[in-house]
Amino acid sequence: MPPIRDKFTIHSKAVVCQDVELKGDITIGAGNYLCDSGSIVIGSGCIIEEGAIIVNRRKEVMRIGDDNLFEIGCRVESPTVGNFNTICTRARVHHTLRISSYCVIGANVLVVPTEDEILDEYTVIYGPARSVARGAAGARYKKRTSGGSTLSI
Amino acid sequence: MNLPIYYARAEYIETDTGNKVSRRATIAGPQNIILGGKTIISSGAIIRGDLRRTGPGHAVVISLGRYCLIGEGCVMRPPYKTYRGNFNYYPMKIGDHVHIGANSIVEAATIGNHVEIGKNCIIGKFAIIKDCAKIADNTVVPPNTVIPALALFAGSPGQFVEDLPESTQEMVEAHTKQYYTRFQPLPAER
Repeated sequence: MPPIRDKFTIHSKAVVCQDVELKGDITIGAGNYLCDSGSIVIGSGCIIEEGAIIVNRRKEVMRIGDDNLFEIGCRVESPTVGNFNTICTRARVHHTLRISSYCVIGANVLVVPTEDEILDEYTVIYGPARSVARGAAGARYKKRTSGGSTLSI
Repeated sequence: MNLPIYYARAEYIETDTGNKVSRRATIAGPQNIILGGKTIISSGAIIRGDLRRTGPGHAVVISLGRYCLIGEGCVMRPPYKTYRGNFNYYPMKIGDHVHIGANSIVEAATIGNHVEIGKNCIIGKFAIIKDCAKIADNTVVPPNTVIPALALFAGSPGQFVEDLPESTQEMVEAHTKQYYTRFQPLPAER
């Protein structure tokens, strides 16, 4: 991992608590923890709540689109995040998953695909005890265990 | 059983009404937060009193009753919604003798008296928890849930497990009072 260089571009209307590369008007709650190992670009209208962790695990730039909501204590390592997504409280997304648009990752869910995967638009992932993933409009059901195995129902 | 729980005197601020607030807790907008007295706020807790209703005048954002405990690393945040096109935060009201375990996230609208919330719980937005209810550890209570009185909820999503005995009120009251008396500053080294 190359050493972390400080280079920030922040919109004049953005509210920022800690170090990350930001663009557009972004509102961020108190106590955020934005871990910047590579570069991260965040679009406009994103809300990042308390204790949310956004990490770039890869060499390329991590791109987060517009109007996303990252709730309290979530951890996102996805290389790309589209627009209008909600990552609920304490959910965790691994770096093998790319999030498209209009997705919801439910509270306390752990999404750990073993190989690279792109989450379809309008996908809702929810489930008990950090495990279940469900496809868009009921067309696709997927269950992922926290160990990372994927099985279709 | 009645051994004191010691804390470093320098870490906590004690108010006239007996509230003990850690200096390492993040209290945003303290003018909008009401503590009932003899309430303990542990280190690392985040209480967001700055997220108030838009509009003029003084607004109470979070009110806590007496003998409450906010565990370490808890996040207390008033719930928000967009109603008739207007985004707004709504006040959070918590009764007396409420214990909230470590690292729980609470965005409830109302929590009654004598409620016990375990560790690592997530209480969704606008949840209403009635008196003497108990939430087990690691429970995820979805938004807008109403938890009836004397119910034990557990799981993800949180579901009814069993009824609690009628003695719960006395038990919780004794427990919270005892916790407060046990929680005392470490006596100076001799």
